[in-house]
Amino acid sequence: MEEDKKKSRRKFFELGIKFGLLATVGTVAVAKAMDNEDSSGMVELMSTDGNIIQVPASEVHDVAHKQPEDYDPRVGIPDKKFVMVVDLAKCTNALKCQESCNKNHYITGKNAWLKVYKMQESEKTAPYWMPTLCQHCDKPPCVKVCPVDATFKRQDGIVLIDNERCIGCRFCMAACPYSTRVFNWNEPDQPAAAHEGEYTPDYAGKPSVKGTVDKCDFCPHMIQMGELPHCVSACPNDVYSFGDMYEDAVTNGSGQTFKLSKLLEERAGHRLLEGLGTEPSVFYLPPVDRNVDFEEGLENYTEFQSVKKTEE
Amino acid sequence: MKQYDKLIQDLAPKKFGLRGTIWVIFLVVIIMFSLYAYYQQFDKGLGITGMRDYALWGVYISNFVFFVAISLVGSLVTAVLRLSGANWATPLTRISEVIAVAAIMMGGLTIIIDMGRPDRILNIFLHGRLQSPIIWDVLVITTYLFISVLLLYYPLLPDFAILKKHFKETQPKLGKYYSKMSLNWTGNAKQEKIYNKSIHTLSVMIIPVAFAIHTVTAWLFATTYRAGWDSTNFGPYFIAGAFVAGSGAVVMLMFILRKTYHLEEYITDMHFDKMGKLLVLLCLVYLYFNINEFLIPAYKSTNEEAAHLHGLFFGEFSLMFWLAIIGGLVVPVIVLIFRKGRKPVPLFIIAILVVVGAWWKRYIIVTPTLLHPLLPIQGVPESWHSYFPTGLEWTITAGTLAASLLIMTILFRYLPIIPIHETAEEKGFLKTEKTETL
Amino acid sequence: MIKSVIFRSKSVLLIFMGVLALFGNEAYGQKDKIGARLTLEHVKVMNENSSLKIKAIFKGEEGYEPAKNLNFTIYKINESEVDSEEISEEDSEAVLEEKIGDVTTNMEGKATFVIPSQFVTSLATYSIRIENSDTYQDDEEEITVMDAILEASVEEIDSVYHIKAQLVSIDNEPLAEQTLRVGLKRLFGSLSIGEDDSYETDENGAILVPVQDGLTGVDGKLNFQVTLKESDDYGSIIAYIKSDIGVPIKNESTFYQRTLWSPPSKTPIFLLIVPNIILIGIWGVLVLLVINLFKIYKSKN
Repeated sequence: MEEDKKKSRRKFFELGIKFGLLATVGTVAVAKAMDNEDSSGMVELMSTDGNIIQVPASEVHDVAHKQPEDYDPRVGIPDKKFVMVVDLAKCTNALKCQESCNKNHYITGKNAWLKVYKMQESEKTAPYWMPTLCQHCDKPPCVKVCPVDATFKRQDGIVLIDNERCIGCRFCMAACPYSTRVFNWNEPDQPAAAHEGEYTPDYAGKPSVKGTVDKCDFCPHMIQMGELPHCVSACPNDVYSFGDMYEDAVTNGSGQTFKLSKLLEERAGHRLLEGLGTEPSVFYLPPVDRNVDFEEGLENYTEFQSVKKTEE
Repeated sequence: MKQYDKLIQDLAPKKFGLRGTIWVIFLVVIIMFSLYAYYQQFDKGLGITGMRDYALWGVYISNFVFFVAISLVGSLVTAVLRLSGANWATPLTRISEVIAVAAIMMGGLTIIIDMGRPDRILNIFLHGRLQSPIIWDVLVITTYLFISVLLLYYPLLPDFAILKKHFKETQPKLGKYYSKMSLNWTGNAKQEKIYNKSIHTLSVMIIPVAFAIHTVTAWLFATTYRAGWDSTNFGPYFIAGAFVAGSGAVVMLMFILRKTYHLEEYITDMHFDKMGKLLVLLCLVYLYFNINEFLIPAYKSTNEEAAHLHGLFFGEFSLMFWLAIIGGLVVPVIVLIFRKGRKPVPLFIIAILVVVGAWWKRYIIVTPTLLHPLLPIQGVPESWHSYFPTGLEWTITAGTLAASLLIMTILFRYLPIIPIHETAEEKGFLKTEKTETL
Repeated sequence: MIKSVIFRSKSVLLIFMGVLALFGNEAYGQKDKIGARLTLEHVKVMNENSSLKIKAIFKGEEGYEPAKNLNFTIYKINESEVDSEEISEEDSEAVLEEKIGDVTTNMEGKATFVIPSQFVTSLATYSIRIENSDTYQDDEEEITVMDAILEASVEEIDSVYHIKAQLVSIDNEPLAEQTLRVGLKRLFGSLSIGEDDSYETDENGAILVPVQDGLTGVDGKLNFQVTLKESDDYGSIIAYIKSDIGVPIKNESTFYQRTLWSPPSKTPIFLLIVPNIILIGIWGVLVLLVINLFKIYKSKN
């Protein structure tokens, strides 16, 4: 009888292990099987007329403004004029704007398109940090001198470069008083992502072309998606606001929207080198009532570098 | 008759001697090196030069301006002096035209060398914008090249006719070429009429075109906002400088060709003396423009101008600046005021100073301004705060200079350096020749 | 006896360990997956639809980064006795919750799932879940909302335009002391209307806000929006008002004019005429001079 008991105990023991093993395997197997349930990659959406439709998940993204069929990168968006406001009172040389611009435009050279200058007009006046980028002038000296119509101004005010047309004479670089254009002296060393898709002047730097000029493009590729330019979103201090001058409104990276004319009047906005008559589209708010001392930005200041080297 | 024959004998093109051959080989070797260097640039990009985003134009552009400047001498000597009746300059007209043609050809090539995408050069014609000073430059340079070639060719017609006869026995093949090129010139009344009218028209036309070419080149700089370039003075300033440089080049070649081809009878001390006086006048005019260009901004000393001028007068460019001004302009004036200074040898040395000074003067015009932009230079490597042309860049530049010299050498080899027909006319040899039929 | 037990157990144990080694990674793997931080908002757009707005970010090397291409399964949890949170997949025929769709985040880590109308009820609880993601840990976020109605319109009172809005429950009860924001839709955001950033509904659940002068729009068109933002009970509700009381914009673009910075098709007239006349004049003469060369060639007599 004792042997029988032992046998049954052993049997129960073995059975328990087997069952436990089976349960584990079974659970894992079922879980794995269940993994495939939603791999069809389809998403259910409601169409505009109230029907449930299945759409591939990859197609679903936030497209607030879809471009009309006749959108031409050389013509631009009708009835808009894009402007930017830079609040010098808030800039602490955090350089997040530069990092985001460099990253998203695949800038791998030695000269960033967006640079934060350490400015001090005279020893007797205050130093301040001044982000400088293409001003997208209304009377652009660079566009005036281009011999082959490679750089052009659109109806929405944005000045772009057609890197497939540019002959690399660099006259535009000589003409720009803000020194905001860069040149691809060698074959650009960009990541593979820069070469994806078809080239369009709307997305500068994708890719950059050897022997041609590059500069800030005011991110039309972001505007088309209803998104702010990268620098505006990236700034932790809400230095940048961007918007349509005809709407008289600019929005900063935190999503706050301001009446442009009121902002410029109350905060005494001005433009760079106004006396030259270039009519820039970038307004600067003077560095008054600063929250943070100028000196705080010195930590981040690299006089001889504006593009960080990547590890690769 | 004898005099006329001797004239032809003296002035007819001769074969290269040993020196000539070595000279040509020397030039070809330099050009070979520069072709290799250019291949590197075409392959790798303009990064092989010392130019970067601030010094965005460098030696290629100052070299280009130099070539355009030199090319103006064609209009000065051939047209201005001819039209004003200065017949003493007749022996020098061909030298001037050859310089003009060679220089403007190489000027056009040099600007292509400076392009980041020379493979897209057709865009200039497909998408050209008349608003752009570069397009104006392309148009005037092409026009000036064409006029200069015509102004070189027309006076050659009678000379080719003479040479076809001269080489008929000794070098029949060469004679045939001259014959073809002479376009059946016989010197009859009808041809003479067309000839005279055409040359007169060309001489008149080339002057405004020459002014246009260097004014437009000056506008490549003056249409920008930069200190040192933002000057209303630039057009006339450049033209005055061009005449100086071109005259210096003519004197240099006068001396060298006279010695090499034994032309002492035709390019005499009188010619050197006159050219010396001309050079003094032109240098004084150019100095006047330089005073305007530098003294007045110094008086006002705006922030941008002050930084730029400090660099020129006392700073990193001061040695080059003062050497170019004093060595290239002041010293020549002082030396050439004296008759002894206008003798062939001292004048030749002065001419070298003038031409070399003129080349560096263009460097002074292009580079320092670019290193003093309106906004501070930040966020770029320290080396970008200055500009030093690289070895490859110098090689390519040397190649363009060698190529222009090679063009001139070849033209001087096959063209009579001194216009035979015109010289004969002036010396009155032709009165006895009129009865001869060719 | 023990010997044979151990022997048997050994083989079973080996098989067990082998299987565990192969499949067990799944279980331990959760620790290597990224933990995403989720925000979930329920947005009802009046007279349009209701949607769930999802934002997913994770802590990367350089701060927070958007969780791209992250798939969420959306469930509607029905009101019932059992407060269900830990229902295992095995009891999948539960009437307590149903899957109503799924959605994947975009490059910004954001996703909008439009709730099909049949699932919209006066009281609803929705659950978004990360399940079976290779990169992200399983996670879940829930939101419960009551339906409400927000009506808004533009009215002219004493020749000043006002935005009038009223918030009522689904049973037409006015909802007082709710915070409404009144804004004018601009390209990248909403411009506040009136003096304040937000307004409290009165005992009738209503607000009346004067619209400031000088608001511009294409042909004077202005799109206002009244928003109840992320209230605890009702989620977010937006009512759009289309109007044309704005100042028409003045397009000052020089794009269609002839300027020094225009493309070749719009060259200034002066530059079209004068240089071409000069060039034609000069080159005309040069052509004649070349013809003269031919004339010389021909007249050798």
